[in-house]
Amino acid sequence: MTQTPHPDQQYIDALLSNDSIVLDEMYKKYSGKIKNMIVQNSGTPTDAADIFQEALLAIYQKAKQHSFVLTCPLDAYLYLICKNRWINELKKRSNSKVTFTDTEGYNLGEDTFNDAAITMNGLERKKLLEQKLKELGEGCRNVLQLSWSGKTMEEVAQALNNTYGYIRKKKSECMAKLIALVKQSPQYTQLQW
Amino acid sequence: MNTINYETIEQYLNGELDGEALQAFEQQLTTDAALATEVALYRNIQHELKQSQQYQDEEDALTGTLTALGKQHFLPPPVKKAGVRRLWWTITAAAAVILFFIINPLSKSHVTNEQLFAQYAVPENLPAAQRGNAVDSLSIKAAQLYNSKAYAEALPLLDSIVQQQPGQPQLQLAIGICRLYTGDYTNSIKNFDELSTGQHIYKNEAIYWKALVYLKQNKKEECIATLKLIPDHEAAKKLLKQL
Repeated sequence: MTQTPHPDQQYIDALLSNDSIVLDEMYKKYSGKIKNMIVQNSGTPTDAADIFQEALLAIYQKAKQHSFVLTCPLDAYLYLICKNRWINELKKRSNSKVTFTDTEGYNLGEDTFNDAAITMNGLERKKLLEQKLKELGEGCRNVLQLSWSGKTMEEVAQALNNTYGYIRKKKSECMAKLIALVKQSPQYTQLQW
Repeated sequence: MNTINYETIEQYLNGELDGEALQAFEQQLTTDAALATEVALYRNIQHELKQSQQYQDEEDALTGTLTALGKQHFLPPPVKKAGVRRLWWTITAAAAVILFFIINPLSKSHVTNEQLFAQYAVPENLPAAQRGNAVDSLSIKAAQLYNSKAYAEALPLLDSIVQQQPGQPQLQLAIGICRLYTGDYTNSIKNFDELSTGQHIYKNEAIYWKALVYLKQNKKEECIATLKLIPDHEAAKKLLKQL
């Protein structure tokens, strides 16, 4: 069944098309609540700006990878993502139990919680993968990134002055190394793959 | 558990296995859960990083817009801070101002336009995207020069980037600022005027900087009239009060 998009879908579309006018409107509408929530819970306006931006980028990535139809108000959804992300950040910073004051009291359905959790998971997974890709040596990174650039493996081999067989073997070795790095990280078991 | 052969996984995902080899691998996938998990992980990680790489440029552009909006909506307007090294100079200057008021109590003017300009003209740094093509390496160089306030040197590079890739309001704003600092006030105002007619987030910033060009030229009335066009701009509001 096709889902009917919520009118706030316009903001998801604005993220996809980088429409600064509509995005400005969205910041005007939602930044105040997020700023209050973070500043009231040991954060600074800069923390609030970073968390808000991360949440929007996570929504953008989700919309880019899967066709994302917003069926609830963006307000509550965004608030939930920012809140969870900020609680995680506070835990990282304090290494102890976090007390959180929430004055908004949104009445959210289970679907919204699940959706927000998936979006957060996507964001954390992307961060981890990009970090581990950086940790690979330059040689491996070159082979992998060239192979993902739309070139055929023959073209990649040609670009790197090597044989097709060698590059295919090298690519699979690099992927094995990357997978091992990802699995060794503490976040691996906490994320959904 | 068998050792995982990643080259076979690569061949399988590329559709390069056929005949008996394919049948054997698919059979193994149904009985070896560890292999099946590894194939799924290989596929998902590769898919995610490939996608992320493919829309990196778009994501960088969006990040630029969001960063600018974040500064505008979350942070207080920038105010130039006096450096520690200038502390004695600041104390001496403050003492002189107090003395001036004691000696000359009828005087209204306590901060010069030049001082106001120094306080309110605080250009934002340009981000330097780090990839590999020719325009990007030019962008990095231009951003380095601009951010280190070498405006005369940054100007031709910024001009060249905008000619190659038009429609970048942040860079157009930087060009106007370079012209202001190199004394080309007429063209600086022209830049800001063009920028202020477009639909983008740097519109108000362009009007603000146009007002600063007037301030720099001691054209107080024009400066005030221009600042009044942007009643929601935090720095503009503060400057208006001081004028």
